[in-house]
Amino acid sequence: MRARVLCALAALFVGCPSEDAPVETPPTAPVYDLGEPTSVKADLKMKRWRQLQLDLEGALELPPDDVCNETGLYDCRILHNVPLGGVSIENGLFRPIDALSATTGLAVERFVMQACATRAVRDAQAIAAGETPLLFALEPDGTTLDRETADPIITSLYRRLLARDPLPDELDAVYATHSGIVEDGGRTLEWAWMACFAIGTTTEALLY
Amino acid sequence: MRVLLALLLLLAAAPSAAHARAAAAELFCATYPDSPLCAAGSTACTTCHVLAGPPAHNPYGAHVFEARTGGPFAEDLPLALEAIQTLDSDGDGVDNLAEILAGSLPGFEASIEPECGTQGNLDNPWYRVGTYDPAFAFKRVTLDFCGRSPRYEELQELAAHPDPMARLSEQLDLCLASPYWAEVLRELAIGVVRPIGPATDINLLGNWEWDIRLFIYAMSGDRDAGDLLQADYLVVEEPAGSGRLVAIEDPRSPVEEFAQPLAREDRFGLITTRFTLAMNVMFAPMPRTLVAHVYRELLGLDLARSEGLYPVDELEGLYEWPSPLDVDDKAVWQEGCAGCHATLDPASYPWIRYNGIDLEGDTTGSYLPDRAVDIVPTEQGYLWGQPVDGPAEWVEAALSTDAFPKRITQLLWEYLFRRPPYSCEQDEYDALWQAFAEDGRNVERMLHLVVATDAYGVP
Repeated sequence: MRARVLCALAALFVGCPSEDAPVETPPTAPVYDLGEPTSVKADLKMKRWRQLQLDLEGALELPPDDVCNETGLYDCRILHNVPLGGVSIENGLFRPIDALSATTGLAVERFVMQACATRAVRDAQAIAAGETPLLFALEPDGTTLDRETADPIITSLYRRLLARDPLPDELDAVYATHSGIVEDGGRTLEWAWMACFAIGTTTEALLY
Repeated sequence: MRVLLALLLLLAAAPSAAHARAAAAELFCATYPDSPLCAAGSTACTTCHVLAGPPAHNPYGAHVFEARTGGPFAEDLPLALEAIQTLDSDGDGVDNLAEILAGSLPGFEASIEPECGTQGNLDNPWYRVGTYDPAFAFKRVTLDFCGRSPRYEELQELAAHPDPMARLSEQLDLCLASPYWAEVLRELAIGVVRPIGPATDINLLGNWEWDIRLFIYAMSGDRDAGDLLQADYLVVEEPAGSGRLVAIEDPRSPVEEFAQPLAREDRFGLITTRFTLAMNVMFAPMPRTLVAHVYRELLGLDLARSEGLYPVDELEGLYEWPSPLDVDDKAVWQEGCAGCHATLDPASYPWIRYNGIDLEGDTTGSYLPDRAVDIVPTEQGYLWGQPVDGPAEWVEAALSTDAFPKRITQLLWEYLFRRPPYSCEQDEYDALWQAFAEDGRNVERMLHLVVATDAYGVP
């Protein structure tokens, strides 16, 4: 009865399924057996905004002011300061917030997305100017990619962003994303951008 | 009207709230003096009460309440504590006494941390779990103190280094000299100073940048962090914008003199800057807020949480509880007030001559030898229950106990770990603040000890 009343109320807004409609059970998440914890301490911290900024500056060799600017105008170091563990004298926030905020994930993505995009654009400009690109030695409008070209780029991204070499499975996985991006109308340079973004936003890259 | 009456009746008939008594924390620690929960002299309210929401007992507090027999509180409570110490109030499998002696809250089942469990699986291809891993610590050092991840080449070099701990120490020294670490110290300073208003030397309410600079200066280099309380010097950035901090004996210009008007002999570190005095003494004759602020931020003891209570019965038995003199007629002798004020007021008298804001005189943060002599004729007071005569003795007494080294260690630990120490890390934590206290209260030397701890370097 209660369900019918609720349904009637909801139908005012979105419509109600018919009496005969099968009842859908909500999907359940798969249950993984993770075995014994890798470390009983699991004592990880998330990088705060300065660490994220300095890591991207160093890994992608970008000047501080070019790492992340929203709409090209607003410096992410100021705009996303608080959700990334900063303090704000102007707002009377004298100590970092202990927990992740609702926009922490978005703020991290904005930082990494823009830094990777800037590196991709600069490398394309370098190629157009006949110079050697730093990371992405790719034809700016190209849509093909072979392993001989991809693997050194992926390896360089892993070394720069995670300070280690990629595992064979990781090389395969990042390379495999290329076909989907091209099918969706993207170019190889966009694959490089997304590869940078994907590696730069792994938990391994963001936690320590 | 009837509704109001019914509400009043409901309130009157409701069971009494779980009153937190300031004396309870001290009685608890008198019963269990060796408990890490009593490291601050008295235990936290959460020993017996819930963490948040309306005042209420947690399961341990409820057992204590039930075990009380109704006698005088000071006699009844210790007996009740002992009567229930073999129970497991929070049902976590460890009895109350064992938890208390381990520094774990007996009213919360999660207070013995899973992080203190035994590391069973040692077969980790990435990290040396369960044992000190220099590569793991190196990554933490570069991120915590340099603000960046280690480079691929640096980790390769570390793996081949004949003495990775020496390399780690060398990296820490490099990072402690980095602009990033100066920024971290600045953020820690902001948490302590709590800046408000424009940071300019012509601000009548004080330019808090002087406070921030003093904090960074005292907490860096080969210096004594005790200068946070005792410095008679001022700190400037020379040249401006360089980040290079220099101590000066006296202001060098009329503007600087306006910014920090006190004579050198009247300066006591962060306690007496123009900003601190203006913000924390303000218009009050009695500088209680100033002392409570210093107590909380620099000595790590929050009176509002019944921490660091050393009551002095200035009325010598006039009431059943220790009572302050009530020099400014605020009725602080009452039982509900005296719990804190019997500590706070005597600790405030030595600072009575420091003025906050004087609108008539258009001055702030000054020292007036005749200020409030009608209500507090001398600068004699008490700290830690011991008599002190004037600010210099107050500061000397403040630095003579464990409170200051514990507070500085806590500040740095909670920056590095973003949490208090786990119970299994307590021994390492205690060794840190003890070494800090014995080794000139030098922050950088203590940080070298921190990165060598298992808490820091065992993944």
